[in-house]
Amino acid sequence: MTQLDCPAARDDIDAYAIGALDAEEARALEAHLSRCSDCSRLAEDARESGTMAVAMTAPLASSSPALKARVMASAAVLTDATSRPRHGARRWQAAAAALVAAVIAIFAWGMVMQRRVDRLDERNAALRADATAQSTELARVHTELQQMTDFNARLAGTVGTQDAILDVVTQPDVRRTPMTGTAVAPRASARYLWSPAQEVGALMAQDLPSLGAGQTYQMCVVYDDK
Amino acid sequence: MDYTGLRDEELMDRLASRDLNAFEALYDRYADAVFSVALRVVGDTHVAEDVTQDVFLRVWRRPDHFDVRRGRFVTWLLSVTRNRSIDERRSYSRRLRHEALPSAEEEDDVLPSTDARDDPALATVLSDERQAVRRAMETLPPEQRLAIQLAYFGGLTQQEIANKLGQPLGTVKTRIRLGMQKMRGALEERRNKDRTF
Repeated sequence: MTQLDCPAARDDIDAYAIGALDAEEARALEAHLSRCSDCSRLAEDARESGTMAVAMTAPLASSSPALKARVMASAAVLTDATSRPRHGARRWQAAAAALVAAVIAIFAWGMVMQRRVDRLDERNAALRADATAQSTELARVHTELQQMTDFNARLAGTVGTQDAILDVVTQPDVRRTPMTGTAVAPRASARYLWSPAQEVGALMAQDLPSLGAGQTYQMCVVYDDK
Repeated sequence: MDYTGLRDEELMDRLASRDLNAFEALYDRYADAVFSVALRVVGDTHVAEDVTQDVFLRVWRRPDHFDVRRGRFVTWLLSVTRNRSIDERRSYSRRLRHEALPSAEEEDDVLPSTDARDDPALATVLSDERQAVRRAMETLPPEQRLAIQLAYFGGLTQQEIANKLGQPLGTVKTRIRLGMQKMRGALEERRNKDRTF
């Protein structure tokens, strides 16, 4: 343990008075105070005036009458538990008084415990509400994320298609062939773009009828009699 | 018998002979002071009431724990209150880690600079000493005030305060020493005036 001299001890006295030294520092100071009456007197002064000065800066609050009733009832129970009257009448009176005080104390204690339970219930309810709200929010964010993922996939497909069409359109020898629907799909129309030099083409169709489940559109191209 | 005129030490003597009226007189005299310190430390009215009850019942059960040779009764009583409140604050924080009590630092942020937070009716009966030390606390540099409040009401050691504030230990020690000297000076000056008049 560190041996303190008087100047070092006096540096720590105020912190000691308000409980700001750790255990080892406090032990070192107490060891010095036990040997040095001058420092010990200064430490007493610091404790007397320092702690009072800081304690009195706490905003003044009023304790409730219910608290006083609780404390006085409990004190009465403690008194009766330790006193032992010798005569019959006094014994019965004391027992009755102790019983009343005990009932009051138990009732007061019950109220305290109930209040604690109520406070914990309130906190639990608030935590449950928070958890539910967070789950809902998480589900919503998850759905949004899925929608954005789907949208990105569709967008990537569209961009790929547009790139392919652009390749054809920008060919200098591109030929454009408009097409109309047949009796099976009278509202449908299409354009076929074709570059003989590059031998690439693109078909852009719209208003095609919807297909049944498992069905797909197919395209047949005849080129050089093949 | 009128107990209100008796000194604290005389009332404590009577507690040794299980005088419930003397206990009630002490309670009436200091319940608000004890409750105020407890409330400042634990930050919860119900917990502060439990601490107040516990402190007074300790006094009632073991009045011999007060040694008149070691200073005034009220100093000892508030010291017991502060230590019991710090214990309760630590225990409460452990039970509800997700819902820690506000730190002394956070509380300091919302403390008004005057007595406006007090009950106006109670403010009128604040003692001269209380007003003197509160004025002294308000005139301290904020860093000295914060260090003292974190130690006394927050239960932190100087090293813990240094870690919390990211300041060198020596700086925190100096702040506490200088701040406490001013606080003690203000209280002693007030007491000297009381003796003069």
